[in-house]
Amino acid sequence: MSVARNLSHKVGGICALAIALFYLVAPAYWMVKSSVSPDAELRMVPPPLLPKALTFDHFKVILQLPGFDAQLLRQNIELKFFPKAMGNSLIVASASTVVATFLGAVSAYSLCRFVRPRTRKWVMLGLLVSRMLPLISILIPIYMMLLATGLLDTITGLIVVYSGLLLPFVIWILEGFYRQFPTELEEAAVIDGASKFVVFTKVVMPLSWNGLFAAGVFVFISVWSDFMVGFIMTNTERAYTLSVVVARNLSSWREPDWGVLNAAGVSAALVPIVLAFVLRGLVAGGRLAGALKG
Amino acid sequence: MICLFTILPLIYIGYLSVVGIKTGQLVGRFVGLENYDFVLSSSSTITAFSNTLYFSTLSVVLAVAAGTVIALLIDSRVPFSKYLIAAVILPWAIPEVVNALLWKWVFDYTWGAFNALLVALGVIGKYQAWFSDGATAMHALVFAYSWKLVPFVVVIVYAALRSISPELIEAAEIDGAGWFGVLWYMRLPLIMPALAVATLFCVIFSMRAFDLIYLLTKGGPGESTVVLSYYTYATTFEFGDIGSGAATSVILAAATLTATLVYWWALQRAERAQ
Repeated sequence: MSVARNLSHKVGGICALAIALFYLVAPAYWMVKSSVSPDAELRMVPPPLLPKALTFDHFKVILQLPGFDAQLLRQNIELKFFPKAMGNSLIVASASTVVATFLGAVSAYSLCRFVRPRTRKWVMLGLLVSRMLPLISILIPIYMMLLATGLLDTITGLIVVYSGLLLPFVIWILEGFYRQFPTELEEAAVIDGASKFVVFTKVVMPLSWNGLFAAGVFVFISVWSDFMVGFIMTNTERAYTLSVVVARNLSSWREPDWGVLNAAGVSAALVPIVLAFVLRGLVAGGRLAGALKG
Repeated sequence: MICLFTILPLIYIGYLSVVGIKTGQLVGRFVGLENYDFVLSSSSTITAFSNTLYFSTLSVVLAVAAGTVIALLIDSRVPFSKYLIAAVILPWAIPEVVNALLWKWVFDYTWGAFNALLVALGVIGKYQAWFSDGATAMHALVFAYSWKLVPFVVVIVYAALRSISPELIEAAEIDGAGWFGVLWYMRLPLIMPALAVATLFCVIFSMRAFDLIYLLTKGGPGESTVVLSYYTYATTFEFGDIGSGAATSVILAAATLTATLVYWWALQRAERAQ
């Protein structure tokens, strides 16, 4: 009786596991599979579960590598800015990460050391609220500010906006980190005659590298993955980000070549997925204890 | 910096919502609550409200249910279940636009995998155009959106499940409680606070949902998938009606703010209880 019950539990569990795995992985698998399948295979009804032949033509097209099929690019005309947009995304995401993480570290540290706990609580609430606000509500005014300052449709403008939007988030993460930070080291440095600024740059910053790195990876993924800000703040390839280019192709009225579009999707998703696994490794390794709390 | 990008915009949007203004202007003529009156009396806004409610409720229920099941699985003794954690990262790390692309392809009428799967399983007789009918378009959106929310629920619920002491569960099992008994009378009540937090966050997120809707349906067919955030965007940037757009975003922001304050209040109460 008990053995049979155990067995039925095990079978049920494995079935549930299989369904969950299918639910989580199948959509992503389908995109990857479609990006490396020849076009003829994509138009099969019903489509084969496993790719029968592999091709990297679609990736050649989006990266415009030598020997790519110009006809396929014409079918996905918005993707002709893909390489340029990839560069833009890289610059914008990296610069915003550095700016937001540095300013966030300074703010979070000051908040923990120089602000009274009661006031700090209200500041934290303010940060939470600003993080939770619907983006569209604050984007209209920001759009008009950029319009007025001439920063609309520039990479600089994007960096400024992203840094500003992600700053509350960085402070929120790092506040928990600095609250658990031992004060003895800083006190020792102060006794040796170091100023507050020196204490921060020479003692606190090097020791909080792990927390900063985790926050930075989060910022990078958020900026890289964002669509709405880039979509509203840019209108030419000068500042198009990756998401914007892919989205423009996706919402164009003409039927795209789905192989190429899927390849674009895979390329755009690769960076955040790799970073997410790096981050997970760090968190699982316990090296970030405290950094991600709260 | 935060002032510049959150507080100032908030004040400005409040200002914009009470003036008449055209694109390219920074200041306008004071019109009082005219914009709100216009927005609240328009039938499109009412549709957007009820669509948002429907979309949010359904996505949140689906995401919390799926996320809880997956968290329970990861926490269980089923072999290989730990690998699910790696799989859970996927929906989270995939950018919104790619998420939209992926589902548009999966739900494609002619070559989509979803149609093929359902026909193969015998659920539907022939291929369906999911985005050409209001109800199915809404449900396809909900399905795609909740997929992206699931990892978030899993992380919160899994953390709560791990904090339950194993002795407690063992004691119940020795007393003869079956798996469902343990789940219903012990695990679920113990993870209730975590479920509440996850639900609240999902509500806040789903009220902001825009990318997927813009990219998959543009609010269509008709107005059947217009939600508040999309409505705000369309009013402001496509019809150039900044006043009405601002009024809608103030309403949307107020709704989100309420949810955030509830979360904050619960957080403070939990901290005091410790």
